[in-house]
Amino acid sequence: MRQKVLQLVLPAVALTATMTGCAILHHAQVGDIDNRKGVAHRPFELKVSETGVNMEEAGDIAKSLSRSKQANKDIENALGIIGLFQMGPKTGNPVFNDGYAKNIVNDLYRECPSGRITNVVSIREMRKYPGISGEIVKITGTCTGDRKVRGKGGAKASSNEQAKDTENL
Amino acid sequence: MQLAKRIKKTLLGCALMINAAGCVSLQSVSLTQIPAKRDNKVTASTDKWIILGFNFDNDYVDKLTEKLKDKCENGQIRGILTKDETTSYFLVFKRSVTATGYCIKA
Repeated sequence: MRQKVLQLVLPAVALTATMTGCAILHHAQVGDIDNRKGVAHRPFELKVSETGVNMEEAGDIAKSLSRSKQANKDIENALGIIGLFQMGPKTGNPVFNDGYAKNIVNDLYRECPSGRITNVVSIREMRKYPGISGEIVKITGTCTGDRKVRGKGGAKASSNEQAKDTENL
Repeated sequence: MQLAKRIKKTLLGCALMINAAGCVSLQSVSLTQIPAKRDNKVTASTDKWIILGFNFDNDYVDKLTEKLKDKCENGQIRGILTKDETTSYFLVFKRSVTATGYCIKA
């Protein structure tokens, strides 16, 4: 009885762990931070992703499913040839669309038309599943507006503050 | 016999020490523009222990900016150096991201 329960529970746990997907961080970068009071901040998050394929793992799965020795040998040969084309340094698994992250600049512009972006954290990560992966680029940050609090001098006070900021930088 | 036992113990001790120390590898480094005023240096770091490679999210990185902000109230942080490191131990490893910058008060 106990063995039967274990036989059911263990594959279920393994399946859940596999389907959740392990998260692997490849690169994290923090940009300049504006923490001044009186500046309007609107947080945003952008994420783009593409499916990556791990040929080695996909081959192992294919081999475990095939029953003939000849088929296994063919798969191994094919993997060897594919491997020759995938040499070199890389982060994550190869993807079939290399331009998946190029529109993130436009998305950023759409999210913050003023272009005043601060607190930017850029993350390149990967969600790993058997044979495939999600290759992710995530950018979080805050869109900064004009100063909410102005001195008695109005625009004059603001330009003085800006001059002070420029001096400091 | 006695000597063999002593050597065994010493080797075991050495192996344990090496394991406990951990090997560090640098994943990535980035730097933003460094300001002229560099009086107030602030540092914040965030980390996560990963056992047997099982890690289901990287949300620990999100806390980093908040930690940096806490150290520079009402100011700007410029010249941020971000280091992403991995320290490996026996069957576990620690991922840590450290950010160091200069706080410029408004």
